[in-house]
Amino acid sequence: MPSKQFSPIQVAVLGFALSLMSLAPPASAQSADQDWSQTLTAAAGQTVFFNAWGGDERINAYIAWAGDRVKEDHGVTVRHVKLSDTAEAVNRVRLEKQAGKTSKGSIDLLWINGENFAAMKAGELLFGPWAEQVPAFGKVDVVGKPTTVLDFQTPTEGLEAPWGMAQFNVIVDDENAPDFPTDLGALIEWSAVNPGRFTYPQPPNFLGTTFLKQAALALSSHPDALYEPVETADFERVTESLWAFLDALHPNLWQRGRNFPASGPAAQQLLSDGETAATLSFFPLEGPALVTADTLNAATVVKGFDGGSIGNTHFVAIPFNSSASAGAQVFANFLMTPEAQIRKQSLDAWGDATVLNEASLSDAQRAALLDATNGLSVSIGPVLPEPHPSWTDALEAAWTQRYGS
Amino acid sequence: MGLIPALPMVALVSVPAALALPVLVVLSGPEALVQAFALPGYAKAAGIAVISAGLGTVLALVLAVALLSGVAGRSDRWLRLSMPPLLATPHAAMAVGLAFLIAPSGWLIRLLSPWATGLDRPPLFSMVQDPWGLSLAVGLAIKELPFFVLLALSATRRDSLQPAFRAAISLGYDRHTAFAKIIAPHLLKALNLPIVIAFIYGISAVDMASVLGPTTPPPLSVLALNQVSDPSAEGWRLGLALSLHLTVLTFAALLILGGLVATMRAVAGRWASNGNRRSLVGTALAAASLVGRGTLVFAVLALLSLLLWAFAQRWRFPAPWPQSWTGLDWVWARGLMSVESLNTLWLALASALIGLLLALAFVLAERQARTVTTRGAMAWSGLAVLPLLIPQMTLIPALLLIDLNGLRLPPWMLALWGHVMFTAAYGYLTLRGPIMALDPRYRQVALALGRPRWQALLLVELPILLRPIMASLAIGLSVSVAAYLSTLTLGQGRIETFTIEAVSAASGGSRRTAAQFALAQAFWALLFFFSALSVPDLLYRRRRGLAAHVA
Repeated sequence: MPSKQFSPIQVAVLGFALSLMSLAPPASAQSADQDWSQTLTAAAGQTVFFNAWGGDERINAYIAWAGDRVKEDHGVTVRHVKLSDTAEAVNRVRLEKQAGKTSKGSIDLLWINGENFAAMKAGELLFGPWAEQVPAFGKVDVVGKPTTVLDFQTPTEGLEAPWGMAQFNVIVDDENAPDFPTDLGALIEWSAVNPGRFTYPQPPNFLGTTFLKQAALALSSHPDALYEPVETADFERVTESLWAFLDALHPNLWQRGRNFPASGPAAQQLLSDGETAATLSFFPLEGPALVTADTLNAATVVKGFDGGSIGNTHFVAIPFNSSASAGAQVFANFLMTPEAQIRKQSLDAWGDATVLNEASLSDAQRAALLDATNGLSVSIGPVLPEPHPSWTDALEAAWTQRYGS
Repeated sequence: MGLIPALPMVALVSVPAALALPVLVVLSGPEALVQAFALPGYAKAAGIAVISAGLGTVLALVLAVALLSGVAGRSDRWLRLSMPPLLATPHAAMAVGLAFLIAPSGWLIRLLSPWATGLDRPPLFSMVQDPWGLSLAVGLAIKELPFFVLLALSATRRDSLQPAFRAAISLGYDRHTAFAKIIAPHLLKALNLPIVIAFIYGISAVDMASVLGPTTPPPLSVLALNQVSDPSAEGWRLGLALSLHLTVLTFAALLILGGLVATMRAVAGRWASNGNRRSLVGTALAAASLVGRGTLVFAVLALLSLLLWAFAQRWRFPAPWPQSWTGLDWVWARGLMSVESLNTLWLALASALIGLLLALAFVLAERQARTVTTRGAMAWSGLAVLPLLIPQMTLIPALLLIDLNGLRLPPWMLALWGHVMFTAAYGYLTLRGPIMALDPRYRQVALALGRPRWQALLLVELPILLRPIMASLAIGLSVSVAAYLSTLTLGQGRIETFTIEAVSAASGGSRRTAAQFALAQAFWALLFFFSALSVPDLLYRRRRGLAAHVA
C-alpha cells in the first residue's frame, strides 16, 4: 500500500534523478538490478491478465504484439481481457476488496488514467509503488512531460506506469469544412453558417468533459480558478461564459443539440458518415492513422486550439490483489522500452505518442521514432494542464442539469 | 416424485436471484436510494423507459398475432423459416443495423440520394433517437416479434382449435375475425409469460437503448448503467440504487399492465360471442398483417446492411454500395476454430443442457403439484423466471459478491452458473406451455397398461414433446451465446467469447468490426437453431402425425 505522500514537485525531481541515474548508474543501482532480476525470475511462467479497453482493433493488435514479445524474452504470457468500459474492472477490484479477497485477484494489470486512477488510489486498490523502480522508467521524460507523474493533478507516486501521451485536438474534414475555427469563440458563428455539422460526445464521456474544460479555460474570465479546488471558487462566475457559449452553440449542433453521441468512436462514425464535419480526439495522430486505415476522407486535417490544448497521459496499474504482479511489472516495463514505444507511435501500428525523453534515445532510435510517424509531429501546439480533478464532477453535473435532462 | 425435481432449479436459479435483491439494497444503502430520485432527468428517464418498453411489447404482440392470423390454416413455412435468423441476431447488432438503415446518413437515404432527394450531404432531420424513445420501441418490437411468433405458433396449431376455426370460416366469419375470436384467446394465454419477459427485457436491457434511444435524458436503464460505470464508490452506489428503482418501476408497470389485460379479457370475451361475422378488429388485423410483413422485410434489410458492413472497407455517404471491400481474412481471424469459438461452444452447450434439465424437472414437478391444487401458477412461474426480473447490470455484480464472500468458485464454473440461471429461466418459459397443454390421457393410458411412472414419462411423453424440448434447447443455446455481463464479470475476464469481442468492438464504434463479430455470433446461434430444430424432423420422418398433437 502507498504510505508516503510526495508533492508533484518532489515526484518530478525524483523522476528526474532517476532519469539521470540511467545515464550514469550510481552504486545503489546494483541492488536495484538484483531486485529486478528477482522480479524477472518470479515473472517467468506467469500469466498476466491485462484488462484494457478493447474498442480499437489497431490497439488490440499492438497489445497482442507486445504480449508476444514478453513471451519471447521473459516467458510471461499476456492475455488481453477486452473491456468495453474500464469502470467494470475498477468496480470488480472494489468488490474483491470488500469481500476480503486480498490475493489471487482476477486482474493483474489495468489500462487506466484520470478519474479511474484517482478512485483506485483513494480506495487503496492498487499495488505498489513499483512503476518508478522498473528499469525502463529511466528514459521517461518526467520533466518535459510532467503529466507522466501527475495524472489529472493526482500524483502517481509510482502506483502506475506511463504508457502514452494524449493531447486534445479536433479532426476536421477539410473538404466539407475548410474554415473550421480553432478559436472556440468563433465556433458559434461557424455553426450558425453550418448547422448540424458539429457535436461533441455527451459528458460524462471524457472527450465531452474535456471539451467543457477546454472551453472553460479558453473563455472564462477567471481561468486560474480552474486549477484550484472547485469548492474554493465561485462556480457561477467562473463558468458563466461557458454556459453562455453552450447556450448559443447548441441550437446549431448535430440534431440541434437534443442528442449527443455516446462516445468518441460514435462521434467518429458520424464524421466518417459525413453527418458531421469535425470530431474531437485525444490522439493527434489518430486522424492521420484513420486516413491510413481508409476510414476517413483523405482530405482530413488535425487542428489544435488557439491558446493551447489540454494534454494528459495514460497509464497501466497493478491492482492490490494481482496474482501475477511480477509478470505485470515485466510487461509494463516492456511497454515503456524504446522498442515498444517507437512501434506504438508508428502510424501503421497505433499512432500513440511516446512518454520517453527523446534526448535519452540513440540516434537510430530517434530516427526510427520520426520515421514511425512519416515525419508528422505528435504535438499540436502548447499543452494546457488538466484542471483540478474536482472540476470534472462539478462541470459534468452542471452540464447534465442544464442540457442532459 | 413430489416436489424434489424442482429443488435443483430453486437452489441454483431462484435462491441466488432472490438473494441478489437484499444484497443490492445493502450495497447501495438507504441514502443512495433516496438520492437517486434527485438525479437530473430522473422522471423523464423513467417515462421514456416505460413508454418505449410498453409500446415495443404491444407493437410486437399485435404484429405477431396479425402475422399468425395471416397464415392460419395456410402454409406457415416461410414464417417458420424467417424467424430463427431474426431471433439469432443479437439485440445490439440488430440495433446497429436498424440505426444504419434509418439514420440521416443511413442506407435508405443513400439508396435515394442524390438522384431522388437531391442531397449530396446527409439531411439534418433524424428518425433515430427521438426524445420519447419511439424508434427504440420499434427496434424492441422487431426483436421481440420472432420470440412471440415462435412461442405462439404451437398454440395456433393445436389440434382442438383447427376444427373450430374451419367451422367458423364455413359459417361466414372472415378469416381474421375468426382468428381473433377463436385462436387468439388461446394464443394470448400461451404468451402470458413471454409478454412479461419481453417487457422486462425492453425496460432493463441497455444494448438497444444505447443505440436507438434518446440521450438527454436516456431511458432509465442507460442512466443506471452510466451511473454504475462511475469509478467512484459513491457514484457506483447511486448506480446500484437506480437499478433497484428500475426493478420497482418494472413491477409497478407490470401490475398496471396486468390490470389492463384482465379488463380487456372481460371485454373481449363478450365481443367474441356476439356473433358478428365481420369486425373492425378483423380489418385491423388484416392491415396489421401487412404491416407485420413490411416489418419483417425491414428487419431483413437491416440484417443485409450488417452483412454488407462486415465486408465493407470504405462506405461513405451517399454511396449506395460499399466503395471498397475488406479481404476475407477476418473470417479466419475471427476464427471458426479460435479460442472464442471454443469458449462460446462449450459454455453454450453445457449451460443450455443443464438449464434444459433443470427447467424440465421443474415444470414436471409444477405439473404434478398443480394437478393437486390447481393454484399457485404465479408462485411457480415467479420462482423460475426470477433471474429475468432483475436488471442484469446489478444482478451480476450481486452474484459475484455472493460468490466472493463464500463460494469462491473458479471463474469458468461461476460463468457457467451465471449462464445456467438464464438458460434455465428461458427453458422454463418455452417448455411450460407445451408440457401443461399435453393431453393427460397419453400418460393415463401408459399407466393403465401397467407401465411405471418413469417409463410413461420417458417412453411416451418425452418423445411426444421432443419438438418443444429441442426448440427450448435452441433458445437456451442462443441465450448463452449472446450473454455478455455474465461471461465478462462472472468469468472475471478469463473466458473470451464472441459476445465479449462484439461488445467491446461495438464500444469502439466501428460498424465493420461490430458487424463481423455479430455475424460470427449469429453463425453459431443459427447453427444451433437449425440443428436443434432438425433433430425432430429427422427422427419423426415416419411419424408426421405426432407433430400435430403438440407444438
